[in-house]
Amino acid sequence: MKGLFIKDIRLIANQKRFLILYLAVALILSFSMDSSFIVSYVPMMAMLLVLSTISYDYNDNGMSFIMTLPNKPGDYAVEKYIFSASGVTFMWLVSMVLQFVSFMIQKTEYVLSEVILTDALMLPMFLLIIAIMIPIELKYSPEKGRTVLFIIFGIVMIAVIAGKGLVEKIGGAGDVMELFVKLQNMSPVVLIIAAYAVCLIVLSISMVSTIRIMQNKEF
Amino acid sequence: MKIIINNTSMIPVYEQLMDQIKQEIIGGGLKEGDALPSVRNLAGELRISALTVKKAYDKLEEDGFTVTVHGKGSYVAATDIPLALEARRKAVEEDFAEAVSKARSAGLEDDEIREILEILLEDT
Amino acid sequence: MIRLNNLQKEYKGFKLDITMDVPEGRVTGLIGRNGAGKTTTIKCILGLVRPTAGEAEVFGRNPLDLTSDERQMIGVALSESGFSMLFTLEDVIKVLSASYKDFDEKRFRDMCSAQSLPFDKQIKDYSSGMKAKLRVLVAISHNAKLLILDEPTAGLDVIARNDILAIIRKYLDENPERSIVISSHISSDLEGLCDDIYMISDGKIILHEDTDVLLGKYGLIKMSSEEFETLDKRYIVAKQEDRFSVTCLTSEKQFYVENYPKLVIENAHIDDIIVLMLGGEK
Repeated sequence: MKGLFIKDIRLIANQKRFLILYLAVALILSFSMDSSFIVSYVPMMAMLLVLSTISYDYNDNGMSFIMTLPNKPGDYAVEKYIFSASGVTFMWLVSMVLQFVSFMIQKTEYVLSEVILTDALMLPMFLLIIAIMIPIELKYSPEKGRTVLFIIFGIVMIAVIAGKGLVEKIGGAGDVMELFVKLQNMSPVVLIIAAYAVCLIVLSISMVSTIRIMQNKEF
Repeated sequence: MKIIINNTSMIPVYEQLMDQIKQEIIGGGLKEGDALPSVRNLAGELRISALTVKKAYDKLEEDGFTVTVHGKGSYVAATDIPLALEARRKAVEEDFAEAVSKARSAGLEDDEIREILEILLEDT
Repeated sequence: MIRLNNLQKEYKGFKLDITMDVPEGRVTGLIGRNGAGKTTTIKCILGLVRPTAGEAEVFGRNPLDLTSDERQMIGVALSESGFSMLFTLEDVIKVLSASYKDFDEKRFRDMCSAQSLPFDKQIKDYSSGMKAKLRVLVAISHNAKLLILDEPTAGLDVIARNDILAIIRKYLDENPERSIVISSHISSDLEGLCDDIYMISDGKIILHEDTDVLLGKYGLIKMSSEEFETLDKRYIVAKQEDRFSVTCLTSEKQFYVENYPKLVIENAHIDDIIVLMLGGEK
């Protein structure tokens, strides 16, 4: 599996132009804009980068050759999860550091608990997207995966808008508002634990299915 | 050692190989105890299949010209050169005897047979 | 080493059905037209595709069940698939180093230099000859016992082809236990390299013979139609008629050399054998 890690690292290293742009924007954001945006921007770019290794693997029929290296098909799946999850997690940590540096530079005032809550909920969100994207890209194709990504964003946006609209229509009607209040009163710690637990479960299920997908695939 | 394979000849390659190695041994180019090139090495140099070389080496061993030590290679056997030449001579004599008998049963006279031999010696 | 037993693989409009046996220390060639089934056969051997029936065995086991250690012993060069085009030689070296325990970095570097492969260019900027050489060098870079080469010389000029064949010959010479399965549609490459040849057409093996026998016993006989009428056809395998003559393929040319000294008899090359077996009448 080590070979697969090195391969993916080199694939990303080869996208020098993109990386430089990515880092430049990250730094500019840190010093100028809303600091919290960093914690969504940086991990998101990282996620797109790690998922792009699948596209590169598919390019030029490369998957056939990759599967002749001394790895079993299941190894390929496992490596992708470890690589993607650690890549995104690492950049998420980096983004939080940048965020606090930015707070210092811009002398922003912030409520630590709120910031930590928002930041903490970012990671499971991206990990969940990875958990959905990897099996789709491997079972179907990276192109389909990209389409699905758009659809997901689309659905989320529609849901948010529709949800807002619905709530306004109902005009604070009982159940929904109560749920909202409950959510806001829930201890942030419980919320975070719940989010990570769900994330872990989904990732595990996803990885197991992907291993199975790879074992049944033909190259 | 010199080996030249004629690809347009009707003689199978392994036979050509055998003959040329025998010549080297009889002529003294290859001495008793000398190692023959490894099968793959010779095959690669001559651009022929390793099986062909192996076939030639096997037959050389059968005919007593070489000895193969498993895992090490083939070596020129302690053949008595005069004996080998003698054996070949005998084989040629036998071929001649057969040809003569064929010619006679075809109705040829001894003079005609000699004529044919002369022509052949001049031509080839 | 490799055994394919009534191996079948079906795709839309194509069915592969072959039996093949490659013992250790053998160089076996697989010849056929494009689309005949060479690459499919190789993919079955490598476990890249699953047969619809029959069995494939490599090192005595189903290729899909080989352990990582066993797969280390196999070196592969595929015709249309390789490392990412974005990689440079340095990237390739790092990945090979991390993937294969027996990867010999120094020797690989030396061989790449000897073949003038640039170290700082991305593979996408290599010429097709360089790409082909790289694929073969990668396959032999880790002391593999079994090499599987799918069309390693396709599309290359004769000099590049000879370079690659020389690389392969040297690799064989270094260790007599190494085996190779090599597929090609350039039969002259295989004639001087392989111990035996499988001819595949339309998913089936139409001929399997030692190269030695193919070159030594098979022959082409050219004659007029009248001469063909009276010819002893016992050893005629195929024939082809054209306007001015009849050409026959025989598996015992000595017989015809001895009994029909007047006929034009030539050595048959594998190309001739293929053309007559596929195009002629039996």
